[in-house]
Amino acid sequence: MTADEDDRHQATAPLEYRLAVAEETVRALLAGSVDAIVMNVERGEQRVYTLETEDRPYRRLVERMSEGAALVDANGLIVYANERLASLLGVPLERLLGGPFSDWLDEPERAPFIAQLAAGTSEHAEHTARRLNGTGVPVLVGLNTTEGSSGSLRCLTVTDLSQQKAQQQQVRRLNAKLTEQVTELHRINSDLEDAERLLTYRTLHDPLTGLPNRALFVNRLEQSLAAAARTGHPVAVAFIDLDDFKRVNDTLGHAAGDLLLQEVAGRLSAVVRPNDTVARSAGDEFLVLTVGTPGGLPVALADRLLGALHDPPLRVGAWTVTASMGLAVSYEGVAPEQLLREADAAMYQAKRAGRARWELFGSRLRNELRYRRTAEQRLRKALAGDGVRVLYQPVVDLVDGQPVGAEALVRLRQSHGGLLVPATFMATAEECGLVLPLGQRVLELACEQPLRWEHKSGHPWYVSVNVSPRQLAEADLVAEVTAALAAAALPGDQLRLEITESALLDVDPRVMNILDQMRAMGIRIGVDNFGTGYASMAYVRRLPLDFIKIDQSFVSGMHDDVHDLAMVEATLALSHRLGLESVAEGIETEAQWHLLRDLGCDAGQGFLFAKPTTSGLVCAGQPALGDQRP
Amino acid sequence: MTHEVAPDRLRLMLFISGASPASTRAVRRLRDLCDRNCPDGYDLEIVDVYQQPALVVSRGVVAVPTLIKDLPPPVRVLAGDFADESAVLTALGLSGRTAD
Repeated sequence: MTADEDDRHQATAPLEYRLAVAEETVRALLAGSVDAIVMNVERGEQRVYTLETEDRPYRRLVERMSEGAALVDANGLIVYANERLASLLGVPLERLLGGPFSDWLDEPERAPFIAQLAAGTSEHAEHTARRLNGTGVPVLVGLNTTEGSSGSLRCLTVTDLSQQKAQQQQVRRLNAKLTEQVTELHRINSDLEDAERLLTYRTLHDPLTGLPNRALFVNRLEQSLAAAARTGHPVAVAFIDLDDFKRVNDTLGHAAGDLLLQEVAGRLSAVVRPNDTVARSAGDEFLVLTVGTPGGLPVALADRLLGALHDPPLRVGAWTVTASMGLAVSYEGVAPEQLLREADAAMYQAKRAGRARWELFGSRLRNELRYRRTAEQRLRKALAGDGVRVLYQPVVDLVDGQPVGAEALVRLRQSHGGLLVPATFMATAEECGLVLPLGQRVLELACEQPLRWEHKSGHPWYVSVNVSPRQLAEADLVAEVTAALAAAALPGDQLRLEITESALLDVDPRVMNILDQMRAMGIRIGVDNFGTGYASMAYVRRLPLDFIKIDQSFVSGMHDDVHDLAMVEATLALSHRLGLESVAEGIETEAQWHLLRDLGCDAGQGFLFAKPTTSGLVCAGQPALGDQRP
Repeated sequence: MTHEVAPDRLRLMLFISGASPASTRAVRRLRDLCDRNCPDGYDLEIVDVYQQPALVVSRGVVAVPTLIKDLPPPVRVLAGDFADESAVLTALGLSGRTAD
């Protein structure tokens, strides 16, 4: 071409050329293979519009998506992919372009995917993608038809499901663990229920015999009484106590005692009816609850129960153990505790009547019971307050009539000013266990007196205190006496203890030991009311004694009854022979005094010399001979 | 530029838009194609539409990339991505070297 042609060419392209260009441009645009367009804007200015410019916002979006995205053509080749997809597959972006998308799926999934692609439908499906390094990645592939400028492009989104899968697995694991824990909880719950049931059982039952305990018994008694009020069928309670059970435990041991209790429980349970209740109340006490017929008395039941325990007899070692039983029948308005008290009272009555029998609570007993309760309350009140009084009766030397000591005698001061003698309250004291605190109070008060008397009179006195066998057996007498002496700063040899004969004293090594310890402190021991009880001789034979007190019944009958005189003489002979001091009680006449003195009695007390008085009056003056009259 | 060239030596002018991937691809493909099909060599001038707007106007180029064969005549215009090799060869008159 010439230069001219060139110029001409450059200035204005010929029409047919321009048409060709236009045609080609359009074709290329439709084919979507054009990259940019150059446009003439006004005044000769040009702008180049790249297709990139047009879709840059969308492109930015795609690039920045958290999902992988790709465009594939009809053959499944990747025409476009974003960085996310490349990093997901662990491959440089250029490697992706131009290759089949299916290459990046797990081998078995490729053919189905290609088929889907061909089918042209939209869908989401889970696949396993294979990274460049061969590792698998769970992905969700979304396939969409898109209206591309070419019309045949498919849009793919690829979402990495690894995290989701991991979370799903964790949820499954947690679920399994939760289920496990719930199962465990159920198990613990049922264990707890079992334990609760067991605990309830144990609180209401006696472990040794398996019988209901007193609490459960009272509960059932309440229910029975309530039912009785409706049905009119009375309720009977039997209170069973084994006689001398303590002896079995003490001599044969607790194992033998336990076996005996189990035997009793078994025998009683065997003879009651299904709706009856047998309970172990405490120690060797059993309770039986039964419902009777209206107007009837539970005689048959009583015979059955007692028969069960005596036929065949209960044998333990060489012992035959018997049982005493008290029965009480309910009446309108009776409270459970009252019914139990009545059964208890009836049981005591049975024991007093000779044991191995049953007694039914009746009106006489009811009155006695009422009286005893009053007496008990009175005694408790006196003990709690200032109701205990001690009087002292001087004991004199029979040779010269001079006082050498005094016997302490307990009284109960009543609210209206009178004093009660032991006969009226000592039985109560024994029965309700108040004899111990009472005895201790008397001991303490008594020990305080001799030194006062000595101070007033100028010569030493002793004080003599009565001690019951129960105190010897149950109280820590040595400790009490030591404490009382110490508190009063009284020398031991100014204290005497007189053992009364109200009940049988088991002279066992323990008692002997106690008495020996007392005597080691200088205390003198003696027997009171000698000759009246059935153990006097045994005591004299076995106990370490210092004196004997001749009962006043012999003294008062001395002059009239040869038997009484004989008793006095014999007692004196015995005491002389054994080197014991003799003291006569109840000397009221000079004749008695002189006779006793002549017979060799050492000391005596009685109205002839002095009545029991308060401590302050004991040495008000020298008790003059024949001065005081009863 | 000398006018004294072999009458059927290919003379091409390729209009591209900067260094975009499509443009670089177009360049590569074209070069590749010509290397294989023009044993006697060819002249390829690459024009950046951003750099030589006047030339764009004078040659009437609208779409990018556009290839213009000036020699041997007739002048041929081809736009697009030159992916279809046979179409390119035909446009350039190289398929079988038959006269147009």
